[in-house]
Amino acid sequence: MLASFALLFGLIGTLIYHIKRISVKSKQWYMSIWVIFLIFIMIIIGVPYSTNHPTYQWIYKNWYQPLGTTVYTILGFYIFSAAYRAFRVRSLDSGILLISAILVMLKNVPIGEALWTGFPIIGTWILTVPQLSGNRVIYLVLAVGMFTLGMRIILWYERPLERRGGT
Amino acid sequence: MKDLLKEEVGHKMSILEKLGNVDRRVIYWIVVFCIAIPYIRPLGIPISISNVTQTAYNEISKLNQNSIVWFAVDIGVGGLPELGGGIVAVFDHVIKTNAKIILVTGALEGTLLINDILIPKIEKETRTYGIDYVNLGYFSGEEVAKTRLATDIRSVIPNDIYETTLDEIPIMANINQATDIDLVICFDSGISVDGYVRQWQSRFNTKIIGVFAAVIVPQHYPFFPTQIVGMIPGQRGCAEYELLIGKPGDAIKTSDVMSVSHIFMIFLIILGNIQFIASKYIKGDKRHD
Repeated sequence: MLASFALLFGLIGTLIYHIKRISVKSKQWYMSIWVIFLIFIMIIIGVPYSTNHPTYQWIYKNWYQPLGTTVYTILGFYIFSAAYRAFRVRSLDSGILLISAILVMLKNVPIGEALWTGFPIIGTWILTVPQLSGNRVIYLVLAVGMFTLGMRIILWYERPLERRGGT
Repeated sequence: MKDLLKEEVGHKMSILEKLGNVDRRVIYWIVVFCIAIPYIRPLGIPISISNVTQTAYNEISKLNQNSIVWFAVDIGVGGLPELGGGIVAVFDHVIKTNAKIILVTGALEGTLLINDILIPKIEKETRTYGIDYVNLGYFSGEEVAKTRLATDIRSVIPNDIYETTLDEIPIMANINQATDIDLVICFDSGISVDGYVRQWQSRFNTKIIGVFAAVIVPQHYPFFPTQIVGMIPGQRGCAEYELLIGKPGDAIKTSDVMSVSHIFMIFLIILGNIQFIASKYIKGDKRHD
């Protein structure tokens, strides 16, 4: 329900934003026309004829799929740039994190094993011992925390929906 | 003497500053070459089979013509470059076992991936729709829907993607809850499999295999091997799976690309830190002067 309404509000918000851009003729305003055109094409075909309609499938396969994968892949380039500029050893903790990250990366790619057979062993150990125990603790704490919060709400110790200063 | 020292420190600083301010476009271009060169001329770096992928393979190999597989493609196009090869490889293997397949998705774009990748593949085999496989399409509601699906599939998905009611589909005749499913194979790049673990495995002991994007593999290790019987971790796992079934595909083709680009990433991290530590050290020296 929430997702459906969020989608609707997202659509309204996007339309308002792009109509404003067109009306004030801001930079590259013609791209906004293209965006609105695409939104309505997908709605006009998708809603009455369902997503199985050949035209919808064609648009998906030839427009959306290549663009979607491209956008996702572009993130990779930012990660490279961020790895160079942001991943700094400023403390002992970040040093341990950096070494662990490098070892797990070398475990995840075949070249790691080709360079030294110890990399997959160390990487797997990091994943299955310190990482696993840390993750289990998070899961346990989350479960206990949710149970505690639930009990507090049931027993009226927490009143999240009550107005501040209300009765 | 002091001037000479100052000049030397200044020179060192200028090199380090240049190193610290490398134009990001230079990095991007090197990344492009790191991807393109191994893709055009593969290096052929050997890939060993990890324990998690091997267990997933072994579990799927146990399937037979009476088995029912819940094939959940819970990823969108974003996950396709990483898991696309795995989807094809696992699907090929499941088809080979002659198990009955229920295609389903909890992701908005999943239906389109099923129609685009899996349906054309199974249509080439001598498998009949409705008898050997069925496409139930998309269901909304995430974990809440999975809770209902575990006890009454028809209450969440009353008909297949072609609007045929499940009661009219022969394959679904005796299937209406999690206990009727022999194996769940879930392709995931988020937390979709968690719902199956909590609502299907914990309550009904349903076997689950997860094919995960590398970024979510660590958070699912606590479930392996008890709640998730097999894992195919990221693009590397997909390449391993292609090797196991003897059908090299996209994942193996791109594994050299992953190797080279990861090495470049590690090189960048190390270089960035050398620059950071050295400039800190030299600045410290400058303060002492």
